[in-house]
Amino acid sequence: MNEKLYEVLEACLQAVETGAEVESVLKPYSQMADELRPILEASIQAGSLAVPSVPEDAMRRGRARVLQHAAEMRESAVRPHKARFAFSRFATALALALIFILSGTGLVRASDGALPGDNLYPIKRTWEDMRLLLVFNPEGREELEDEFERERVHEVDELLAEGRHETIAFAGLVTEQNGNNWVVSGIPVQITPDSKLPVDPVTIGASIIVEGRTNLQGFVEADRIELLEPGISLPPFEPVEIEDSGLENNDNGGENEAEIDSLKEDERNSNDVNTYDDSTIDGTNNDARKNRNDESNDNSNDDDDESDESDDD
Amino acid sequence: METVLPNPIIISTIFTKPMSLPDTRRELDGLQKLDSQVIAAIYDRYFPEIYRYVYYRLGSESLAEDIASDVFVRLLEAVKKKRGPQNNIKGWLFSTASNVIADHLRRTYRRPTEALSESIPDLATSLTDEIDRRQQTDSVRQAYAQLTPDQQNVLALRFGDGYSLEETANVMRKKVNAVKALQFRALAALQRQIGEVPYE
Repeated sequence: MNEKLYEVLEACLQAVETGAEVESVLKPYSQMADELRPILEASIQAGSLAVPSVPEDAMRRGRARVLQHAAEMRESAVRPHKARFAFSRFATALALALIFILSGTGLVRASDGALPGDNLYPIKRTWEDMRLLLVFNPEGREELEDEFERERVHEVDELLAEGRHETIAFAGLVTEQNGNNWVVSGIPVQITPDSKLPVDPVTIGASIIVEGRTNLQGFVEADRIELLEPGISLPPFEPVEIEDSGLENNDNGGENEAEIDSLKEDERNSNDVNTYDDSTIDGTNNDARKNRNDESNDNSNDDDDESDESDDD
Repeated sequence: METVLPNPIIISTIFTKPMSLPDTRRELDGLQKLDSQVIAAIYDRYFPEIYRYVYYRLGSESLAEDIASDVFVRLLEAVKKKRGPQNNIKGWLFSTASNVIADHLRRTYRRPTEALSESIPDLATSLTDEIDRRQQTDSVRQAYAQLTPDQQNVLALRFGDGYSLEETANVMRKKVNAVKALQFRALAALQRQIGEVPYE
């Protein structure tokens, strides 16, 4: 009897989905109508909880996050000595260090928000190099270098927002390629006939350095694209607002949402608990505890398949 | 204007053929090697389904986005530690999403917060209609939250992802008949919780 009921329900669900009225759907099944009517009405309510659509922005951001994580994992697996173009100004930084120390940090602070093309921008970059010189811990230096590379992306984003024409260079990960229109770490980049590209093909997920010019149209016209060796760390994929905190490095990589922090905290705390095999959806919902009593009737009807379930929690 | 991906048919009658074992093996090899193209392909194939599932379970776009992408990050980590899927990537992703959701619900159970509505009211409808619609959705969601995890899962897969009975059975590792019964009980329980139409 139940089997027949379930079959009829499925047929009715299909019909309701195509837009048929509940009553007309139930007409051929008058004997079961009283039982099926509330179920079909509940199915309409159940359909109202579905997301109207998957935002493409959410998908793009997620893809960038995942590819970024993969790039970091590749880096940690290889991690050669890092190729950094910042170190090329080593000598200049050393020469200016004394001047900055003697003149205090007022000028440095003033240059904090400078963008490429601004008078104070060279001071900002030189101060960054000096800070690197003063960090002897390799991990601390890597963090600082990452912060500076994020700042490069942020600067380009600012320039584009202001519609300025400036020569820029930044490192990033290719997350989208639509013909000659690429997205690199969240920055739209256009490849022109004059752009110098590497010999090896540049694909989505590749780590590259972009040299080019920002423009009024809100994208970077690439002069030159250079493929980075595997193992080079990259800035995050979306331009992030670097918190203005004087000379201190308080940037947390843009993940400020308490929910994400707590998710990660929870992941750390329950790393073993969340070790999953490719078995089945289970999950235990504490919100459902209140329904246990109501569920007792249901459980009595459960099929033997219920024994297949495992509760990883 | 934000571009959006099309919504699936609510109740699918088409059973999507699962990937063959060699294809899955190739993808798992690619994952192991952290091949960007393989990772991107897996992400593009499954992210919308995981997103819809998480949204259906929690009713939040931001949580759906965060948790769905987090599931793929966990996939990379798990494969690296040799604890990833053996032959069913999709099943692993849903299983992990379900567990992350359970973790989240446990946390909010301990630290309840009032969620703010994220969606922007549709200007084409009147404010009153919009409020009514949201109240209606909220009451359904509250009722849904009272269901057992299995009941929530079957409704999320069938009505959130538009999966067929067979696909739902495959992801939940149940027999089709068991899914039919579970779906019936889930809808009955939902209606009972909503309380609009007495049942039983």
